[in-house]
Amino acid sequence: MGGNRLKNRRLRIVPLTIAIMAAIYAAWPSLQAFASQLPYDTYYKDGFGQLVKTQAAYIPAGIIGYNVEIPAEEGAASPEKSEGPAKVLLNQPKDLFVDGKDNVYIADTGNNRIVQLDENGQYVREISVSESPLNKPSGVFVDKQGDIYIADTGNNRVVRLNAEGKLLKEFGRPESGYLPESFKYDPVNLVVDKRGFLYITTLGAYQGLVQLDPEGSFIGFFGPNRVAFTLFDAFKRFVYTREMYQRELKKLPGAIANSTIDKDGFIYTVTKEIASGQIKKLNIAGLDQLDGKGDFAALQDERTYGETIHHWQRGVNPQLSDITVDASGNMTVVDSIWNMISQYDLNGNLLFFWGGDDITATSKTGVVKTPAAIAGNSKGELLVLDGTNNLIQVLRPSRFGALVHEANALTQEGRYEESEPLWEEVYRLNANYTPALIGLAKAAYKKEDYKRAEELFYKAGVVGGYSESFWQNRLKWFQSHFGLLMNIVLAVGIVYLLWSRLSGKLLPKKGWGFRFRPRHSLPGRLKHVFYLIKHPVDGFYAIRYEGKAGVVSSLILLVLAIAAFGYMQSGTSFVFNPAVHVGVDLLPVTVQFVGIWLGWVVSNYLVSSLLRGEGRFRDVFFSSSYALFPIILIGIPVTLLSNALTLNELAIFSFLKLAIYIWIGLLFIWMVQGIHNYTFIEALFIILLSLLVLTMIVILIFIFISLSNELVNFFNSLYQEVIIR
Amino acid sequence: MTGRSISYSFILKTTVTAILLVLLGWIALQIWSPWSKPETEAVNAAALFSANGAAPYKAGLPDESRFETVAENEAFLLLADRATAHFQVVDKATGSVWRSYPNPEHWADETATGTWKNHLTSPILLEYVNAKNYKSSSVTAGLIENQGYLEQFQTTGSGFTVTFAFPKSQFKIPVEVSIHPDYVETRVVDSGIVEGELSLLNVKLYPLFGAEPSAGQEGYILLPDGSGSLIRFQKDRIMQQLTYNESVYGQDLSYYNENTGRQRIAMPVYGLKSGDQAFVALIAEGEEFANVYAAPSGAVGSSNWVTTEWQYRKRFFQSVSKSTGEGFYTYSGDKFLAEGRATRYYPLAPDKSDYAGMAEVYRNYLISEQGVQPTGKTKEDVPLFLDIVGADIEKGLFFDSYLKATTTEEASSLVKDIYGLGIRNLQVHYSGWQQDGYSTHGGYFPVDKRLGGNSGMKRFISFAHSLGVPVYLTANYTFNTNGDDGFWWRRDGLRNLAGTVLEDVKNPDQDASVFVSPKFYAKTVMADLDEFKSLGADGIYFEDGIGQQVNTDFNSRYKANREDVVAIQSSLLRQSKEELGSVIANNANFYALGPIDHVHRLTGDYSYDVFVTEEIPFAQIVLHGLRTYTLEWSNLRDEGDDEFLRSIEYGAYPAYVLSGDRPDDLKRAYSVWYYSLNYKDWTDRIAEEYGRTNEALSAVQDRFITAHRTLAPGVKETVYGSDYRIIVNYNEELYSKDGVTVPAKDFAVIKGGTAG
Repeated sequence: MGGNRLKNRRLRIVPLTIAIMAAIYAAWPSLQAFASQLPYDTYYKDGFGQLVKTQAAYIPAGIIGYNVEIPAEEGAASPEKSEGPAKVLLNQPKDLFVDGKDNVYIADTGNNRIVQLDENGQYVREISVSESPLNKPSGVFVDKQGDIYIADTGNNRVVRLNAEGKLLKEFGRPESGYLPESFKYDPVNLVVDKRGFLYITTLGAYQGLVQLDPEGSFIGFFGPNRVAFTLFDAFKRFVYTREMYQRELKKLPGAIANSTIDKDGFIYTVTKEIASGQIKKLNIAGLDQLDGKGDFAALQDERTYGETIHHWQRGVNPQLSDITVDASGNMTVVDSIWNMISQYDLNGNLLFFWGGDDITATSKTGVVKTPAAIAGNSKGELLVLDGTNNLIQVLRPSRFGALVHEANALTQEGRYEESEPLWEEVYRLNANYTPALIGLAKAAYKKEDYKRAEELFYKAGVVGGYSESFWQNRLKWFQSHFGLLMNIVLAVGIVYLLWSRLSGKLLPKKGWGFRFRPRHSLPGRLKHVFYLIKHPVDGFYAIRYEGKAGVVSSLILLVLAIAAFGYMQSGTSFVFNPAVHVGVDLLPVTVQFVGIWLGWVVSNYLVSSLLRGEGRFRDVFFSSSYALFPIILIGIPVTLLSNALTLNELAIFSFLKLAIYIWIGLLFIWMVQGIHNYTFIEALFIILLSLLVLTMIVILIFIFISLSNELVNFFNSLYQEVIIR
Repeated sequence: MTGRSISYSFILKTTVTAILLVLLGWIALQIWSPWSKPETEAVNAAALFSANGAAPYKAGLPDESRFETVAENEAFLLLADRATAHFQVVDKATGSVWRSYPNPEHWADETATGTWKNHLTSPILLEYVNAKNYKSSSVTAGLIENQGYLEQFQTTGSGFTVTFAFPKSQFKIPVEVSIHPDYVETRVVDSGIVEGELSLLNVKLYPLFGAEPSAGQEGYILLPDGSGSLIRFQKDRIMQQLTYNESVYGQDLSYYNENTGRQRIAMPVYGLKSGDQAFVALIAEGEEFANVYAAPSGAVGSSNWVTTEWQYRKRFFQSVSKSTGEGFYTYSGDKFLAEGRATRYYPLAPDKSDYAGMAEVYRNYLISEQGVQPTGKTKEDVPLFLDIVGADIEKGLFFDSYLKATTTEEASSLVKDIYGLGIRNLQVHYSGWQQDGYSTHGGYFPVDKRLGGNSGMKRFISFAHSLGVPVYLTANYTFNTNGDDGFWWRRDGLRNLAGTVLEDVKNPDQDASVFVSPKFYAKTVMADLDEFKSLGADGIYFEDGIGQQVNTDFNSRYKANREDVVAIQSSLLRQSKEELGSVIANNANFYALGPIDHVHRLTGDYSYDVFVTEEIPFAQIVLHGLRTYTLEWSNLRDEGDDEFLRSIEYGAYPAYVLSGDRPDDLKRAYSVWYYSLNYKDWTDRIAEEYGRTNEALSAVQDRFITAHRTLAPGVKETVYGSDYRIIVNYNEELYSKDGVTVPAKDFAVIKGGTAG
């Protein structure tokens, strides 16, 4: 039997899975559905991770920095004159800087020089500081006066040259007691602020940027990343000895990889090897200005930067290697792992991201092999330095990209009305592009068209904006219906008063009507739940010893509880449960709920039957169903209520939800107490043990599944090898 | 009770034992394989390679004094050298010479050295591999390195035949060269190929025909990349080592394909121009088994050369583990045998020596030899093409959920509104009408009830006909997602070399769609024709499949090689046209051109390889006046304005993809997620674009494009006939020269020499 089934399974699975693999291998190149195609696709991703394809924001505009001819008089000086005009060939360039006049400075690391090109990519000069030659310079910065700062990595120094390229000052390792002995001073990049202070990125420095004053004295470390300290770390610190803890792989914050500065003096850093907060926008005090600023901040506790297209790319985090900021504060970063370029606005809201599959067979205009650095010029073009192909790819903004930039700049400045027609046009061109919805929603809110704002914010999935518009609409509704509401309240009050008067007189005084007692009828058993919530311990005791619950009644309650749970998941207002925006898939949630509940029933029964518990399996089953009653009793009204609340009343909602959990928790304790006849402390202990057993069951199931998967894979490979080779 | 349980365990044991025994026996059989074909007695190949006194092939260029005339016709003189089998073609009218080897004038400056220098002078280059050893890599061989020699050099009246012998690797390749009234043809004779132990992968015959180095002259290589692209002659090109090598009619998914991100070659054409001497090459026979290979100067030697690479075997990636993706490369067993493998080189007259001239030759070839008849008389206004999206599906809770975009009733009001704009020449393609919408393939009929069913569709079509608007129904028969039409993936799916059924994952949320065997879909289409007819449809719009996908089918029930697939698709298209009156296809390979009446969404872009210096509307120059065509849908453009100008430059008619005004949210639809479909958002734009296109192109709908050039950076001129010019200015500044003024981002039409 078993063998048979295994065989069937294998035979069925093998060709299918290979087919999928083959499809992935073979069909990828064929997936180009469009007739006109750039070498990359452009996307937007909303706060829920929903990918939306958009029109290209940037269009390839050519290649510069490759084989640039050196004009004759310069060339005459160079030795290889015989082969026509001499040409600039970059060698593993690492950095790119564009000054205010669109001059391009390239740190040509492999050739120990800085190359300057003009705005058209024509050769201007090369700088190698003959009086003190550069050695592997990997960063360059030019200030307003034209002074050139070079991170001269090979010589462990930063040099400052005047506009003519004459050496003005060297910044070696600063002398300071605050600088730890172990600190390695390998400057790879730098920015200089208006005051002439230097912020030097050094290789692998997790302490932050090295901040020097114009004279070269050490001011301090600037903008360090914090160590992520997890609960597990706390646990380790608690359990481990001091030596063991220190021997653990040293937990260090991510090292800043690159930095840039904008016209307002904000310093932007990008950090590799961290999973969130990869971009920081630091003010002069070193405080991050992006924290909690985004439109989707409510959805994301931890803001991540650097986007990926395919879901399988999530395994490896993007590594941002450089950042550039344009005149309106839009930040553009390059990711050296997935070769993606992502663009964010000044508050860190994603605008676009794009990138092409890495193609080894050829090189394409507009796609870099290894993005080493990125810079923008005054025309809004992006220059991306390719460290492998030794050239610069130029991307110009498309009409669509420019339109979005313009509209977004107006929105960010608060000029919502002016932005509206532009966003209308963006929306007309791409109805799925969320920033257009947000822009229009903000404009509608500004114009006090709250109905439309609410609708648009909902469509865009922006919780904060939706909640505020909803609040306004609710206020309006209350105002217009105030009279009616008061009348209803009055009427209800009077009716209640009258009824309580009359009922006292008319109805004979007896407990709860007549007590018909066909001992354990279904209605009677169902009714027991009301007794149970009033007298929990007795109630559970009665389930065990008086047969107050049955299979049918328990199942009914269980199903109702599951339904109520599902309703809570899908019916709660968007304000408190943003997931409803994308649609809640109830199946996995329900399966999880039922699975845990069943696991609990089994593990509790197992544990208590070992520890002289008196409950039988069916008692555990019945009472665990009955104990879910608060979900029905409170869950449904709370869910209904949530649709009338806004973020301002978050506390009420949270309290009610908490009440459900606490009540259920208590019911479970009382349940264990009641049916197994334990004391309160014993019950707690048993619950703890049951949970432990539950965890073990889950782990075992997990191991079993993954092992059997491996087994199938093993046989599959074996089969393939035997058949094919 | 006990009896039963004993019998269970007994059954279990027996079954397991039986299965194990059967498995063992089967494995033994696999190893022993008594029924496999007895190995064909390997011809004692070595014995065939006795040079018999023939001198081994000498390195270096042939001695030009040894060339003798082997054939002559009114236009050309064919001279050949018996020692090397190299040839020269002399154009009698101009006296210009095309050589089958590098130009001796520049040979002294050749930068390639060693083996490759020898390869460049060899009349034939081949690539082979030892297929029995998984680890061996392929070897490129020329005659010289292989101590090769010539056999049986014979003149034939119109040319000569010769067999190239490679004694070291044991190959013999017979070839034929002949001259014809307007071209010279080179041919590999597959039936005469001798193979020893090694496996032949591909052959380049006279690879350096017409090659020239970049010596400051104007010149370029024409590639059939996208709509056509040029590699202009240049010294010190960017990333010199890169070459172009792509399969004609696209990749064969039944084999391994390197991801190049390039567009499919739809036309078996390439060309080379140096100064005013130019040729265009057509791969006239066996193009299904050909690649176009181009090596611009510096890539392989200092010459710019482009040639046909005849494929005999292809690489295949055999995966052995689904979890790790491990596997190894192998090659197809038997070599591909084509009925003929012929490349024609058409030398061009000096005044026609540009890409427009090349396109003209190809157009004439299509008309006279492929039976593609010119459009002839057209309606007064240019046509507007509307793709109406019916419905699609998205991932739902348990099943996919249906997303309605345009019901047949809404389609009627859409057409009425667009017609109401004053657009009289409309053509509608209705897509996503089949059961379960656009992303569902298989069992197309009846029309989905939620859109109005067959009756709704009939009403819509007769309404459209009342306005004189033809309606095509969009279909893609090359996939099956639901097993309808009697399709069972195990029996009827397209299989690759390893026998695996191919699938395509179009959207990660959707289950993979299965590729259908060509011979199976041919049956399905034939069976459905009556249904199309009964709805009153004017034709079928074959989208993304037939006319585009050329994959070898290893399904033993429906075996078909690439040549067969092309034949199946051509006859299928022809029969559909006969039955229904018309068929169309999008961005189709040019073998489909005869039966189809319109090429929809023809590519207007290139593949962005860094070595390409210019993109040109080669395909459009060939097609204008032969077939109507559109570029990408206007509402999917990256840059509305520039791409509208491009469609004017390329002579393309406008096309939009639209939905009714109350579409469901299509954001997460599997296929039709397009940016913006609601037709109410586009009516103004349609009216404007149509008006402007009509103003530019209505007068020249049936005319050929005779010239196309760049007047200044960002300013392009397209000439129709002799006296109708359209000048497009992409720049931000006004263009003004020779009395012609074109405003910024605009175009001007000049009739009979004056601006109109």
